[in-house]
Amino acid sequence: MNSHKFWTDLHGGSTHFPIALLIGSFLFDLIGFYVKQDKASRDLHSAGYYSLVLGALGGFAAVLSGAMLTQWQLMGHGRLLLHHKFVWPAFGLLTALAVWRIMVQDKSTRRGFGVYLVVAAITTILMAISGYWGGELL
Amino acid sequence: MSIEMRAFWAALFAGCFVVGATFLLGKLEAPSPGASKLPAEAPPALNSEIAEGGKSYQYSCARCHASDGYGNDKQNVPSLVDEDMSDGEMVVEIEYGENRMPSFDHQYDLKQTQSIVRYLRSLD
Repeated sequence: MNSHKFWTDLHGGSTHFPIALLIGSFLFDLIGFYVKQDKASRDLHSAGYYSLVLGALGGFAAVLSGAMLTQWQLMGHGRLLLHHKFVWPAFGLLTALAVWRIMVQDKSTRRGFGVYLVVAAITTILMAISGYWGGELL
Repeated sequence: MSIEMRAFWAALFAGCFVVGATFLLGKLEAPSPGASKLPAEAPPALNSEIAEGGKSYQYSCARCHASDGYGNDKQNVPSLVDEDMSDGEMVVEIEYGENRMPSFDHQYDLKQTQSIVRYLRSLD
């Protein structure tokens, strides 16, 4: 298998992990934020936490394979540029969200977690748009 | 300082760091524009590559970009001669297309795409 095909396949596969897991994490946490029962809320936040951490790890694989695929053209032109305009803020925010969650664990206040959810929503939207433009490249 | 605020500053640093580090790596790894331009007298192996790229260019690109590579002003098709994109950017553009230009990744593999870029560089 030539290396270009290898990176194309790896990017095509790995890029779905951060997208799907981030969306899943946001939904789990959002529902967990509003659910009244303690156990259900805890379980949902736990699912949100692990989805986010795995999504962030998948993000590194997606970024590395994408960079190798484009020969480290981190902006580019046309649809590739549109993809990159959304992917870099999304990647930075996804990493930041994961670091925040790992450090805070379950010690966050309701207000603090509310702010987290707003940032997670922005990140999810950026990631979805970036995924859309990535798909348009195919 | 609460754990939330400490985590906020750490998260801000981590987010900026990963994006910054990626761009720094990109600066080190990306070929600079024109870095792989061919010397005035390319060795025979490269001449054959240019010839191969020229054939592919005439077959797939010349219809819009003109057989001499200078494009078509009336139809707003850009010239590819003296293009200031890097070789890597040109490869990506040929593979994935842009605006009205279709993608050619199903038609040409990486080596063939690179030979088209080498051919275009030889026109500079």
